[in-house]
Amino acid sequence: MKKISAILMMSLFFLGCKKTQVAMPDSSQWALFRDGAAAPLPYATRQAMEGVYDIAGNDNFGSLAALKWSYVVNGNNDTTYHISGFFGKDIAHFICEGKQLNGQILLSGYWRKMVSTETGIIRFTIDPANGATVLLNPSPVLPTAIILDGLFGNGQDEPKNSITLSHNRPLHNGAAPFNILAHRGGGRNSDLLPVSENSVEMILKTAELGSTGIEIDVRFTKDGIPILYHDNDINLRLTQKSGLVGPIENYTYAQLNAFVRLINGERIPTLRQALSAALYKTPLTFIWLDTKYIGSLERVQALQFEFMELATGLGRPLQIVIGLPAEAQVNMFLELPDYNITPSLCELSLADVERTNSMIWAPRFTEGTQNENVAAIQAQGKKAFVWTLDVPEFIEQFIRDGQFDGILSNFPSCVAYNYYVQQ
Amino acid sequence: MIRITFYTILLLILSPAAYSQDSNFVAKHRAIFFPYPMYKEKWRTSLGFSFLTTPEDITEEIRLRIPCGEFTVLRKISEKVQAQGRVSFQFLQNHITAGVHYVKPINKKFYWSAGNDIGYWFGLLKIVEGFNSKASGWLTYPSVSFGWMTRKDLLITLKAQASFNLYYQSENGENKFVSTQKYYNGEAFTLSIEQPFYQRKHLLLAFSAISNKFYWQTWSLFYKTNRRVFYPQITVGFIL
Repeated sequence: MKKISAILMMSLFFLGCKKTQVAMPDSSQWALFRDGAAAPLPYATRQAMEGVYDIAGNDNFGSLAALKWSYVVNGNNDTTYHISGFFGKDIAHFICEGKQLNGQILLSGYWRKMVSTETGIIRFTIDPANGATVLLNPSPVLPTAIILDGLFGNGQDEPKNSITLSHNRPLHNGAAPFNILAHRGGGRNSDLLPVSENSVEMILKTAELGSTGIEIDVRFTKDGIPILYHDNDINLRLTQKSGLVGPIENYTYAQLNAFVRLINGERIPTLRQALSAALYKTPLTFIWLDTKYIGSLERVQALQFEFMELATGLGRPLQIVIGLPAEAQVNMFLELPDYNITPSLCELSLADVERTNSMIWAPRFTEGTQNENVAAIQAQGKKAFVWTLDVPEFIEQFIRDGQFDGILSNFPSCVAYNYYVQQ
Repeated sequence: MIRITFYTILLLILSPAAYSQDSNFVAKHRAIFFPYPMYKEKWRTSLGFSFLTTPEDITEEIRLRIPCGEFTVLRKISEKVQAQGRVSFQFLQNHITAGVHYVKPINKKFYWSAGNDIGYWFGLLKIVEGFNSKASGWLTYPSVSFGWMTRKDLLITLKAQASFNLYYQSENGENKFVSTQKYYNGEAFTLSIEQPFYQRKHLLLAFSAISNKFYWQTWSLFYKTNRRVFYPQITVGFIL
């Protein structure tokens, strides 16, 4: 009996340790796209390409797609632009780079379904007669028929399945800006993205997934450096094997930087590095600093003010708020000098929002759309966000029936789709 | 695991040549998992609990092992046909199954059964300023079991069970989402051991390897996925 039990326990343990992974396809093999004469797309072309498209030729991704460009700054005069397509089926998206060659527009990249591990290469061509000539005009005049002829494949297979996107209408953009917020910088490790949660690399990628803002988790090292890290301990969910164990607060930043790598190989970022990346390298306009520790908030507040001033100096819209998830953090916040003029986001009751003078109320989605409470908050000139909403059917309902100013999700691409395709 | 499933199917195919049981036979053991025909008895029941370890994909650094009460009842319909009912209860979330199983001896040592259960689960989570959620769903569970009675009165059973989601409903405040999409949810393999305990009562111990897209105990943490998640589970029961 004991032997059998031991064998069974060992079997269950090893079965349970097997981790699922997504092998991202290498989409750089398209000879036409790699042609030395292929040139970047101008700003006006990119802007004109954005919109809601009808899908024909394939039901793999649903019937509509929302196409939007994003960018990441790599260095001086070096910026990479990506066009993302957000689909209504299986939380699918594609991310492509774009070029022009001989009057054609070429898009090359990969697609992914977030509900599964399915991914593959995707390519599009816009012929001169299908809108490329108009789009490549220095001042594109819309509306015009824009048709993207595409091919996609599974995994590393050569793309052979056809898909056609036809421009239907501009992206919906409501009267007030809607915040599409990405949890942990872009998504959790369990969502099997190619970069780790709460990393600089994730922050640089998140706009490709449709985010206009991020939520990141702040803790402190032993020597008082604010860093991004979610869990209490150093563990194999978030990090590669390092030999370090126990609470992350037990280690100095130098120790973490030397010995610990996040699950996809990145270093644990300091809060300064994360804010700097968001400010200087991305189009993100909102940062929610989720407070994951007990202690003084003064250093976080100092960084918050420093980076908001830097953003103002650059003429760059960027709002940074301190998140208050529980009573302990509320008390820490109320001990701050100038707390009443410090931008914050309160997850507790409406009374707590008033007590902390928070500019944003952020309830859980599990209480529903709460339109009356949201209207009451908005009547005070404040905003309301809801978290962490991942079920596509509820995302669709909250956008259609709710009045929230933003949604925090592990699937920002799903929020983006449901927001942008609104009539 | 594929090999074990293959041998189970092979035994089912060979079973027409099965050992013919004397209807005067009185079952030596009172088993729940073991596919043991009911000749003289009409009822068998067990009471126990199970522990499911929540997976990293859902509860991340927190590994919950909330005990779940398990009450099982078997009712004889005929010597080789049994009705089975099971209630799994955690109060805030509960699961009830009912089904019919055909049970047949192969010889004095080996037995098998096949059947299907229909399951209904429901959960409720209401906490002021936090949760106003409830959910429920229907599933169906076809299964086959293969049992080996050892010389030392140890009853070893391997049960292979598939699950299909039939219906899912979730409510958060005034928002409601209903899915009637029917899909293959996954499978569970259970190895159980049942043995006399102080010569009177019988004890059961079962280890389950569950690979599902959705598992009812995690409804409040459920996120939309087509990915399988692995759940190990241990069940302990006293056969009454």
